Amino acid sequence: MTQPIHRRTLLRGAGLTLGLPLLESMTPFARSAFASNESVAAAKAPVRMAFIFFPNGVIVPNWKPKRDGEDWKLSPTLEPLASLKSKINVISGLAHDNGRGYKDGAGDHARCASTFLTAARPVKSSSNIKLGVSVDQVAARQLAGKTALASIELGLTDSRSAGSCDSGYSCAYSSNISWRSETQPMPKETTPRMAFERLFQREGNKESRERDFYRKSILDVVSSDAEQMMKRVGQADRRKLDEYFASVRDVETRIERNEKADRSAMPDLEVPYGRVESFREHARLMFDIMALGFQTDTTRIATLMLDTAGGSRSYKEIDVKEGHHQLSHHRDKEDQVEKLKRIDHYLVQQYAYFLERLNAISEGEGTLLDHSMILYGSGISDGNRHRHEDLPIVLAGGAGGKIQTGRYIETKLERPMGNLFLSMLDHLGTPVDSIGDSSGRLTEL
Amino acid sequence: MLNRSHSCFALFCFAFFVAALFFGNGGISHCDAKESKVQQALRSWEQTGWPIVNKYCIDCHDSADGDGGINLAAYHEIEGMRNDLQTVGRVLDIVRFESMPPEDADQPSIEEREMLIRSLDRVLYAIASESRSSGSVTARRLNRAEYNNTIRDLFGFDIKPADKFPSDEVGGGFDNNGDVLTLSPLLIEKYFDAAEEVAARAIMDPSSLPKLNVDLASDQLFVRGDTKTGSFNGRFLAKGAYVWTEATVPVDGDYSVRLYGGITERDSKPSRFGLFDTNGVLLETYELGYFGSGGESVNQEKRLQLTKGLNRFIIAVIDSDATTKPGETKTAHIKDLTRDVIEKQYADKSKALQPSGEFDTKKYSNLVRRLSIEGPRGSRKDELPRIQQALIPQLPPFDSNKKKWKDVETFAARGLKPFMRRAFRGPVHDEEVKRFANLVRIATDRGDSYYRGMQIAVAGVLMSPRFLYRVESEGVGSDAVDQEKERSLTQHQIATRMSYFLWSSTPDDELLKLADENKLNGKMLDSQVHRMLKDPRADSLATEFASQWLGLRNMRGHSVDPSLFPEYSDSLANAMVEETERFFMHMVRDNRPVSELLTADYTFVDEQLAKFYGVKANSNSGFAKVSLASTPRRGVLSHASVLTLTSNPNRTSPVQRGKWILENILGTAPPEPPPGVPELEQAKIPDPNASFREQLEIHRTDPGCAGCHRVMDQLGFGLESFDAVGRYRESSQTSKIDSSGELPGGRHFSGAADLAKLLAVSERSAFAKTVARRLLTFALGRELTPMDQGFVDAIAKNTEAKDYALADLITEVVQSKPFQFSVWVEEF
Repeated sequence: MTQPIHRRTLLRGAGLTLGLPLLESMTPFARSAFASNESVAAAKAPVRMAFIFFPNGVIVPNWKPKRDGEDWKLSPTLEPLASLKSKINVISGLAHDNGRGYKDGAGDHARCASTFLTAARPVKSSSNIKLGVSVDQVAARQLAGKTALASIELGLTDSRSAGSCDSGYSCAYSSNISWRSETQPMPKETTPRMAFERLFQREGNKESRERDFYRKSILDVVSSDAEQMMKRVGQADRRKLDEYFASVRDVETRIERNEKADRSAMPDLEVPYGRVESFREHARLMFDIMALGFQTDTTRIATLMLDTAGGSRSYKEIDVKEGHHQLSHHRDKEDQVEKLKRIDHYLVQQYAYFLERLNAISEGEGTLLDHSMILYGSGISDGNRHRHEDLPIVLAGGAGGKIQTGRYIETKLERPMGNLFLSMLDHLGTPVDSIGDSSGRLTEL
Repeated sequence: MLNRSHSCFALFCFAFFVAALFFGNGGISHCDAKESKVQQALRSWEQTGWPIVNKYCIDCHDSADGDGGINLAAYHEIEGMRNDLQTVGRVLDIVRFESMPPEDADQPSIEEREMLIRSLDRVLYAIASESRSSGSVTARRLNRAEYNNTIRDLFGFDIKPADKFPSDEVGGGFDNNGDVLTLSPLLIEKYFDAAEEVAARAIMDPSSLPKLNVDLASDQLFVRGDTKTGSFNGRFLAKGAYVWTEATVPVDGDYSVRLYGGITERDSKPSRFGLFDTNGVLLETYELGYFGSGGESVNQEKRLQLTKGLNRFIIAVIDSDATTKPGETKTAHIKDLTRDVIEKQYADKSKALQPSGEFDTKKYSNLVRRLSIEGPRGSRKDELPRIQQALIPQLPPFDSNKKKWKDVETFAARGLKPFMRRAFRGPVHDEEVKRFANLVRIATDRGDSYYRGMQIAVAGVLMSPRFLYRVESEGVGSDAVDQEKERSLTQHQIATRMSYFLWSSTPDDELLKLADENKLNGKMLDSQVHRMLKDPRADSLATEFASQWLGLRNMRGHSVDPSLFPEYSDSLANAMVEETERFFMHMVRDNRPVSELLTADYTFVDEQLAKFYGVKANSNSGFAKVSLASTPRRGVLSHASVLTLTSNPNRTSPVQRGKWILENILGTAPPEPPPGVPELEQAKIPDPNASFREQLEIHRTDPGCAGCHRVMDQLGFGLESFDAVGRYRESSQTSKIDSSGELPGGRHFSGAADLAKLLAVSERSAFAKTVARRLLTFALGRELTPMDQGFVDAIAKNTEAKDYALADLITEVVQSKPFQFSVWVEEF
């Protein structure tokens, strides 16, 4: 008889960042497989999906892999992924036509983030925001109820809070990649502790049960309040109240799920309180939390913005003092290009950390990474000229054997990014007919 | 405003007119009698505007594939403009800004340009006012600052629960814009956490208040001097010995302090035991006689006033002939009880007491057995939160047999109603109150206390959409929309707009009372505005309004290269922001002319900023006003905050600084660069190592760029004598600083102070309108439409006589129609 090992004893004091391998018997799938003594295949792991966004594009020549007959070589920028080469696909040639200006003019950074997962054209406005549902939310909506949390949205920087963020576009566009509806971005959690608590907080103790009981009673009262108001307000306000309703229902469902949920899988890990100043530390904590969320099947969908679109972080730890965005308009000046290469490489290193983490967690016959689709990319390729075609995209993980990995996929230029999304949604078992400006499936995948 | 039938008529005329245009026969026959605004505007467009466009613009912008994707040929017909009002607005900006046609093309005369601007403006205004629901403001969710302040003012404690909420989105330049303030499940959960935290602070069950009930027995009684331990562990003291012990008192108050002990000789006179406090001062004396025998003792109780915290007591026998006075007499033992002694005895505490065996009870004639402390006694109302008295003016009766509260809902409603009126910013119906009072009963039915129940109800009120949103369309349900075209806000809605405009918080009792009495109008509005500006809550105009208008919030997260600017730190950055905020509030509270924002020869600095600026601080604790007369700094353009936030981490950016002035001072946001143009287009720069000013000069030789940059860069050059963190400099690393420039109309300037003065004089009214426009946008929480332009102009005009003083502008905003009315027109 295999008893699940108590994480409390194992990890107390160890802290997340030590990279202690999480043992196989801790995952709910493995556990149920052992307990029932059936074949491992019977407890088939679900597919998980994550998107990691970075701003300002890349130095393209340094990003693109080299083809070598049947084989291909990782580029200098992608070198941190070397040990995982057989588990990733580098995809080139995809485009976000809706990222281009046309008559909307400037604002490529706002469009870089807003098109990234929606493939839709943002309405140029600093207040009447309208875009489209993002791929992660398309999936989350269909998976709702299967896990404690349908999705989690993370970021490393708060939304900018003064002025319109990019040439007349609301800051909502440049600071969010996940959109629940056309008009509603999903705000990001930027503090690791809060993200952790959001995923794992609710333990089935008496106090939280009591609190949930009262929360439900309150929700009853306030939804009837809102209903009364709905009858008497104007059109635009009714839309706002609808938003309130939808969110209230969501929380209600969550409370109900919580009442039933098996909380024995609660990880007991140390996540610091408050802000984490170091970028690397911060990013890694967030990746750890995502990995845990996937591992415990608390959620299957996650997004992470390494920075806001057009973000101007200066990566002092790799000796780059200028702001990222400022640098990205490098005009081919050698020293600037050199620094950008360093940034590109550094960001890929963080991504590699996440993949390695997922790959270290055994699940059934493979690893958690094998059962995932982890996309890394940006809505801009050449940052200097704000290009929205031939986007830098890596898709790691085999979606539980549905995607053949280890390839460099050169699609025909101008294939809509939305096509990749449709194929990913197919593999996740949450298919839809179209997303944004998609024109079909990405058959190469 | 048009009534329903009127607008139908107008619509019909308009449709006819479009058809007429389309078929190319400009006749307007039978609608002539009552020409609509759109028709008038279109006629003027046909006669004056379009010919100019046709002459100067169509060459390049002749189709959808035209330059910049702008198809001006479509503007021949009204549909072409109606379809994309936003682009029309952009075209207007570009024309107004003189950035088109490019320098190498034929230029319209000044008169032609003005004619085109007027005509296009009129069309835009006419179309805008005919179509969309104007005026109406979408329900606004409280943003983070508003939530925090509202809680502070409702409950009287400032715990800032909203700091844990995700940041609010920005629309129209401010984070109080109803259209972009969305609500997510995440936020609902955060609202719950906040509401519960606040409710727990607002109401406390008195039985949960901290109490002290200790029995300090022998093992906690430390002894000094010649002592023995009895077989029941009593402490027997010879002459000169004493006992000390400690207790932590939870709160100041009246405590029952009982001393157990006595004397060993049955026939001796009782001893006087003194109880001394931490400083060795006598608290009280106890007279104890023969203790009995074995483990017995006698005791005496005294009521003592104890203070919160660790209390150390000394118990010692007082000579029978000594005169003592509590509060004055001091024991000599306090000198003996040094820190070392205390620590040493504490360390030995864990050792079990060993009875001393046989000893001479005549010598060890006084016994101390224990000291018990219990309390505080009496009413503890003062310890309860102040708001609790208002929420629970009276407890419902408690049936102690059934262990049940009675009449819970009735009593709860009594406390909740006035609270809900304040929380919902207006009258509430008994029906509504009942729903929340019912929550209290749900709790007491479960066996929870009435206090707990009230906490739930208070949390419930804070979760209601009526608290979280400011809805102004209530009562304007779908049925009412058709009949009502224009509607003034209710008195309570006006009170709410005023308080969230000036305080970013909830209306206070005075405002609500005036609203109840229907008095919030006319002169009363002015006097209320003045009262409110004086209130410290009005500081939110600096932290919420000015900080967003001037972009100060971008200082958070602004990077500076530490190798170039080692003195820059977070605390300095905070001081920079505070300088500008304090300066702005001074302008508001003293009702100074807006131009003084640009020209003031004084500012507000703390010590570190004074050092940074090289001026003498007027205070060594915090901010104080200082003169800048002897420095090159004048007004907000020379504030380190503004200069830093418009710079790159390692160098200044004249373009960004110019853009900042254009947007925030002159109110003419430069049109956006044509699509696909990076900040400095590489192809046009032959030598990437040219100096920055040279580079800018070069890219301005491109006629496509020059239009905007000739003004923008010139403005920025004016501030070049301040580096990327706002320090004054005469030269940069590579070259001497040239901070001269020229603005259109041959307006020369030399240096920042000169530029500020020039702007303050020649752009006085443009600046006033910018301030009016930003204030109105913030006050309304919506983006302004072309329709609002007239109101903005009027606000400025009404304050012109007194040099556009800031408080006057604010008062005029409150008096303006868009502020006082909400207009409901069905969407087109």
